[in-house]
Amino acid sequence: MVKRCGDGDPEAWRAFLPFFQEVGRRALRAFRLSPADADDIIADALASLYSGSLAHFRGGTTAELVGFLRTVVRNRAIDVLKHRNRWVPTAAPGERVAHESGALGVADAECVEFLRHTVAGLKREDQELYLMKARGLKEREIAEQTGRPPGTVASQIARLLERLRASLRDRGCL
Amino acid sequence: MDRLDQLTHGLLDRLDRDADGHPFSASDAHLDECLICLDRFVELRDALHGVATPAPVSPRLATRLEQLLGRTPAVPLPVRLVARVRRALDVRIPVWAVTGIAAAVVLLTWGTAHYASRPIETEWPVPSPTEPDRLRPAHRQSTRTVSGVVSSIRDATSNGVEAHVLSLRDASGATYLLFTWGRPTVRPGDAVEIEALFAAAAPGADPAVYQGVVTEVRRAK
Repeated sequence: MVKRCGDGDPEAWRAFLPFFQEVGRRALRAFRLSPADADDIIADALASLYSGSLAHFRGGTTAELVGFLRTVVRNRAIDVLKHRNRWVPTAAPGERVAHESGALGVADAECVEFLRHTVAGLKREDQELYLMKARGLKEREIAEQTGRPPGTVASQIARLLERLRASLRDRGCL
Repeated sequence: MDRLDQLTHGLLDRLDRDADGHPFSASDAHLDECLICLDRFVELRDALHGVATPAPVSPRLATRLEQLLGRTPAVPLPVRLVARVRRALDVRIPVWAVTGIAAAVVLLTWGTAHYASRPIETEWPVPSPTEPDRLRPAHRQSTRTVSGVVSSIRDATSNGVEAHVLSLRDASGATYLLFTWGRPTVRPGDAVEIEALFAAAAPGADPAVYQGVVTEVRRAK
């Protein structure tokens, strides 16, 4: 499909669009944009791909294509937010955002490191729950992807976050 | 956004940075031990899940693609009107602007109350020809810079708004009690340079005690 898109095949682009929209919306989840803004950014990224960026994709797997498209969309979002001088939540590999270094104070940096060690010490399933929640997935989506009932997911997340808060409180980070 | 959310965003930033150049492996044994790869795995699984069950393409995105392909489909007038209204109502107020306006309102209220309640007979500061750059009330002077060592920091957070009172002593022995928005970025014992708006001095204190609101804190070079 990527090759056909690169050749300018309109039908390939139309088939590509739903795929790209899903990847783009997920890439923008952490940016907490309005739906209209998210649509604008995805449309801009689409224009960039159409005008030649897609030719830069060198991978061969769906996972690599997803990673490439995520980077294109997130870079576009960071450009837009930097232009508006707004806060940017995270930067993907290869992205350099001026706000990142120094945005946290010394005490915060120690607490982030403590949180990292605490999360790394959790059970694998709890680590996944925490990361999915942190990346902005809704509980319904987490339930779908982990195969657990939504109610169970909600209570597991609540207990997990309370445990993390308790650890951070004991450490003096809350 | 609560404190855990803030720290979580900090952690995600670090994972993203550390993932740069980090070889990705999705083997179970590796994911059990590597938080960076587990984070990448979770994101990838989410994206693939969405791709497997795509939502209908938004009309705006479809329109954009048709424009790129050289065709402009006719959009019905009601759809265009709804889109215009939606855009018009999509007000964007940056967080820094809201914070700045709130701080300005608090400062204005505080300054007005302080001005209204000041003793009429007080002559402040005491004129001294040998010290031409003495502090003056806020309505006569904006900011000035003081250097010294942080002697203590007290939390002044209220109603979820983070703030603290920073106590600073300079080389002359004068003490500055400085209200500061946000969380502390320095610690007791740190040598700092501070720009602040000074609004009052404790009468009769020796050495002098000044009160003010910090606008910028820098570590002394």
